[in-house]
Amino acid sequence: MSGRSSTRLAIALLLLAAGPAFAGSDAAATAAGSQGPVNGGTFYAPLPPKVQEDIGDIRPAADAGIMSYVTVQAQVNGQYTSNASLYHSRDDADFLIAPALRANLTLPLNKNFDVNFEARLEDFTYSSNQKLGFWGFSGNGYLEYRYKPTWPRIYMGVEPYYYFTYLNGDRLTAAVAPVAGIDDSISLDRGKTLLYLGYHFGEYFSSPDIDTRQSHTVTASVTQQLQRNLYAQLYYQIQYSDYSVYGRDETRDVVGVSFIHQFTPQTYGSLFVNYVDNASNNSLAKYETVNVGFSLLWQF
Amino acid sequence: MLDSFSMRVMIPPVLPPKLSYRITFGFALYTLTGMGAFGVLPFDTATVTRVENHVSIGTHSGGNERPATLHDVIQADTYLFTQDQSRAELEFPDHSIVRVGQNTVFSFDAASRTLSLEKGALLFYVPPGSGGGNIKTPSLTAAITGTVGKVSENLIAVLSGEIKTPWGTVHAGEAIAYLNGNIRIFKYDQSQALAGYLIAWGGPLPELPQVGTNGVYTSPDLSILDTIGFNLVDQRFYTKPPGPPNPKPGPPQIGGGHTPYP
Repeated sequence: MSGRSSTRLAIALLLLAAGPAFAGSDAAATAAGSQGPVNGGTFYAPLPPKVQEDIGDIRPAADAGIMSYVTVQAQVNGQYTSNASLYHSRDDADFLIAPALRANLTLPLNKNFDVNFEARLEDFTYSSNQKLGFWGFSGNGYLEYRYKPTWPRIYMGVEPYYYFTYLNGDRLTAAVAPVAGIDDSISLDRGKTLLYLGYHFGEYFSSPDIDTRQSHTVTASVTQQLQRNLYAQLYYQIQYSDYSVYGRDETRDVVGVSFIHQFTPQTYGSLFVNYVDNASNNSLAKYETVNVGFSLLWQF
Repeated sequence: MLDSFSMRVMIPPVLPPKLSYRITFGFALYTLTGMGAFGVLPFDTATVTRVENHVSIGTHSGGNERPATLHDVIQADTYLFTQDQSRAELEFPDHSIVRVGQNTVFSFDAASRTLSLEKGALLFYVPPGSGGGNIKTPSLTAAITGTVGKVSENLIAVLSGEIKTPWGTVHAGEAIAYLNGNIRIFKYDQSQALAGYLIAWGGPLPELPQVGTNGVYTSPDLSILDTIGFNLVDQRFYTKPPGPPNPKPGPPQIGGGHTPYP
């Protein structure tokens, strides 16, 4: 091997060794016109602060810390419900406040797979029927797959919840469920209209086991941008649940409309009204209710 | 007399000769071939649809500088300057939108439908089917079709659609950047896709970005719909003595055959 060939081989090996520092951590990256890694092995020069303020801190995905994939939401819902006890069509109106704190981590594994974890702390306090109030924890962990970014999301994972009653502080109910689903959104009219359709399956193992059930849920919605920061959302959901105890079968239909206002990039407010009809083969579980309320959400 | 902004924008950026050649060649190529569609509306004027604080309009010669006001119609080959904490939004006849960030110098060319950023940052939205155009910064050029993107002097990040550059195609979720004589196309941190003041200033853009998550455009939040359904009903069953699978329906009797709630 000549000296020139040796030099070329050495350079090639150096480039191969240096390549993974950039391309290996970002499989989608290309290096057209590049001359190798810069800035200490990673291609990253922070944008000036004023530019970041306007367009965000655009940087390679490989350089993003895990916290950049975490979002936290603080939400409070206030809702009038026509049938707080959820018994038939009883006139049992009440007002309930439901604050919630959510932390979400969506971590891309590669160009097709993401993992999504969410933990929620929730409280439901009734104005009149205070003994109906409860609080607790819920969450989910999903492995999500998309063949292409615009294709439907397919996911599977687990959903646990654990609630305590305000009546005596005891556990109200708890469950863990393997779940799976598929959903997709399609935008029309240059993005002013968004159609959403999703299917969700859950096999809930509950304690007490009276809540053990298998459920199938289909949700459809259409979101229309009315003004630049005002949206209307019409939605419908049907959920079929097959409880393992007493042979109870239920079908719950929900139809509703929301008006959502985006105050800032991080804050939303909405007004909503919906109608719920829960049909069951057991008379004790049948109910209808109308809910009217508001929601404030802060995401950071 | 030229002001400092005009002086700066008239000074060509210093680039390596080879890179400068590639930029020029690529820009000419994409200008001539990429977007030479017939029947497209030229970027000959733009209307100021939003103004924040101190925004000025000037000409190449540096003269005739004046404050920009809402509904101003700006002619091509006019520079728009923004000062600190000042921003402007422009809408073109084909409904393309450009949101110009603070401390920015921006201009546009009618015939080639070129949006030029000399300094600072901007967010652009070019509707699909409008005929596309070009983006030009001191170090980068790109041909755009239906695209949403963010631009700084040395970076173009694509939120929707794609851009074609002399260095390759940049897809949604990717960015092209110039740094120290190197140009790279890379996947960027998508948590920042919808970050920044310009994204929501004046509301979301007409086009949904393909990357990033807009809180509005997700499935409906149904978490509070049936807050006590699953447990109240179950408590009824739980406190009820075991019976036949389908008890005979009957009118509710308080204190009678079932416990209405725990």
